[in-house]
Amino acid sequence: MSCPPEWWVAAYVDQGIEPAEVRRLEAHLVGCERCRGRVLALREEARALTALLADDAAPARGAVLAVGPAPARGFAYGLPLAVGVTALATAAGSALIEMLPSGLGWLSPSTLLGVNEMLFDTVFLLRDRAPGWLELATALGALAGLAAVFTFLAGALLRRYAGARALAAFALLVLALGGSEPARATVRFEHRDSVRIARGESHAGTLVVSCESLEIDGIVVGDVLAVCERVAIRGEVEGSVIAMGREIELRGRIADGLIAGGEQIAVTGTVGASAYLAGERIVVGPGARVARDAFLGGERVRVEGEVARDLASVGERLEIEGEVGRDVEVRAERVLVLSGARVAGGLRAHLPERERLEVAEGAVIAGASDVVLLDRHAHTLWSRYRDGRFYTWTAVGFVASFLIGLILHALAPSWFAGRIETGRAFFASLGLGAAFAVLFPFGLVLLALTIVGIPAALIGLAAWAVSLYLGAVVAAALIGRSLVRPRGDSMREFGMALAAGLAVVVLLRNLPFVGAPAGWVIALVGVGVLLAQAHAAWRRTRRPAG
Amino acid sequence: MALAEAGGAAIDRQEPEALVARVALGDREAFADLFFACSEPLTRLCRRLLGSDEDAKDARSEVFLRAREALAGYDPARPFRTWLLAVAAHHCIDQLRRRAVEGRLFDAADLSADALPSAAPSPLGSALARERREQLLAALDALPPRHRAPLVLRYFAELPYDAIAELLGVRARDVGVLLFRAKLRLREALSEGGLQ
Repeated sequence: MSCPPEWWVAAYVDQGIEPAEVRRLEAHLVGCERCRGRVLALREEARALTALLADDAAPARGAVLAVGPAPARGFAYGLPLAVGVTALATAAGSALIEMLPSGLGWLSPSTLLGVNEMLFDTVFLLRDRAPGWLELATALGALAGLAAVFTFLAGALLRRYAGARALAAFALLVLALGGSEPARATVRFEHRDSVRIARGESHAGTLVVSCESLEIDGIVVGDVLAVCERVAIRGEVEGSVIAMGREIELRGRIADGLIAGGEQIAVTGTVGASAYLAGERIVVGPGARVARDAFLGGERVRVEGEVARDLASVGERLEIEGEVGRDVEVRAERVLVLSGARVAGGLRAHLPERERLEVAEGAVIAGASDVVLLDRHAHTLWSRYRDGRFYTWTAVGFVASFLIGLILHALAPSWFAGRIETGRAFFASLGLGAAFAVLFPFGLVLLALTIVGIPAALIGLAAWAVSLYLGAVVAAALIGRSLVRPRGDSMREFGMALAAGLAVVVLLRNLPFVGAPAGWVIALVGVGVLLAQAHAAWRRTRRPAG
Repeated sequence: MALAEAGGAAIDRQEPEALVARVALGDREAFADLFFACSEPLTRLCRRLLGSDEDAKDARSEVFLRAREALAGYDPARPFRTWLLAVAAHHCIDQLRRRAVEGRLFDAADLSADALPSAAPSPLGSALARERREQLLAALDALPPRHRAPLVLRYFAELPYDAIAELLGVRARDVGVLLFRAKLRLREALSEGGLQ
């Protein structure tokens, strides 16, 4: 081997060549005195340069440099492309759904996929097939969730006010939670195949049930919280009832309100306060009485009994054969007021056509009955822009988001530290956000199936909604920063960026056709960024400096 | 209580590790403390790369913001100082690139090993470097950025070749050529100075 060029030897001295090349060069050095001399001279030169540049404060020897995350170099084509593709896809998708003739409504993705039924089926199937596994998993999940919430709170308090005050505050918090009313109430948790409170039996305190079938023939002096396939209340509940299940039947008496969601809901008994019912088929049968208002949302809703105050309904078809003490407000495809129906107030129906409201001969509507035409396209596309309230509420929403963003930035600036600079990062965030948005509620439903899980699931549901909202705020800040390019991170500069971003988000969300999907994309991307940030923070705490 | 006391003591002593841990948790005050602890070498790095005190000052505040935003990507297992210097180097190289024509620091001739002169002045000795310190620093400042940047990154920031290559957007092998070319310029400057 002839002598290598001097620059190559210098690179060897600087440890800048590959191990294989090092071996070859060293093999040459063994036999070449001239090159050995060059190595020594070059090494001295390198030291001299280091000493010269270091002045008197050279960095520690052998310090290995971790190259920080490379800030974006120049203009990334990927990001605008990714945003563009997503925008086109959402626009095309929503335009297709909007333009679908009503007869082809079943082609709409949510109907086609049978999302509702699938959710119910999965949940109950899991309950049937693997109850033990499910209970264990969800109980553990609930405990872990609560533990995580507590640890987070404790950690946050300790970090913010290290010392005795934090511990005192935390102790107070624990006392407040532990000593609160619901915890002290006599709660009975039931989790069996079927739970029955027989005639003549009574249960004092809140009853929380998760089972296949719940039957109450006796008396419950307290509230009932049930997640069951079948719920039948033939006895009395001296409180409120919150129930979710396939079939829910109320034949007895509930002293307070009823909140129920299920496939079929039948009320023939008495509800002492308002009833909020959502399901595929809802029947308020003959002899039923809702002492206050009734809010009924379902594909087919039939009211044969009495609603003492207002009746509000949303769905495909509403039939009224009973009595309504005040007004009826309905938005549906078809409304039938049958013979024998008595509405003491007025009736206002939002319908696609005037003929869709049919009032039979023997029906009585004391007040005015009017139909508000619900032109599908005109309504969804333009009508809201002509309504002054739309602008008021948009402005209120904007200000609220802005304030929340500012507060959040002051409290937890790291939430806004995430960024998206490439198309890949955009899709990754979108995917992460979408996975969270879909999987998290599924997890919550599973969690809610165990009795321990219901409160945790309710907290989780609130957290889910809040995180989607915050996701949109974070995404708005990202958009704003890329537009305004603030030089600093002060309140003023961040505020300007946030305001700009929110303005864009509000504008996008209110565009016809693409508004709703665009809003979702923005929120999901924001949630994805937040999750990535949280993951990075978690990784950092797991690998402390050493 | 013990936990709180231990934390307080560590913070009082301003141990870099404790500060780093606080920085990793997103503590802005701790970040500012650490940043100012590294401020001196950071300013000098910027000064060496950009060539003027004024630019170095601007760069310093830019790097502060940039580093705070990039904090999520900081791995506490590595020294904070080197991470911060890398962020600063990124920023300065971006600046140099912006100044350069067409945004390119190097052309093909800079990177070609073939164009290196065959007969070069001998390497600088330590003694000579000490003796001609001011002259050498002046020569360094007079170098064009494409020669100065690799030298500063290697011998001041002590970056390995692959990190320099990533920063400058060249291959690791090219770094050797660039560095050697820069050294030649310094040797020439010094030998000319010696003759005068």
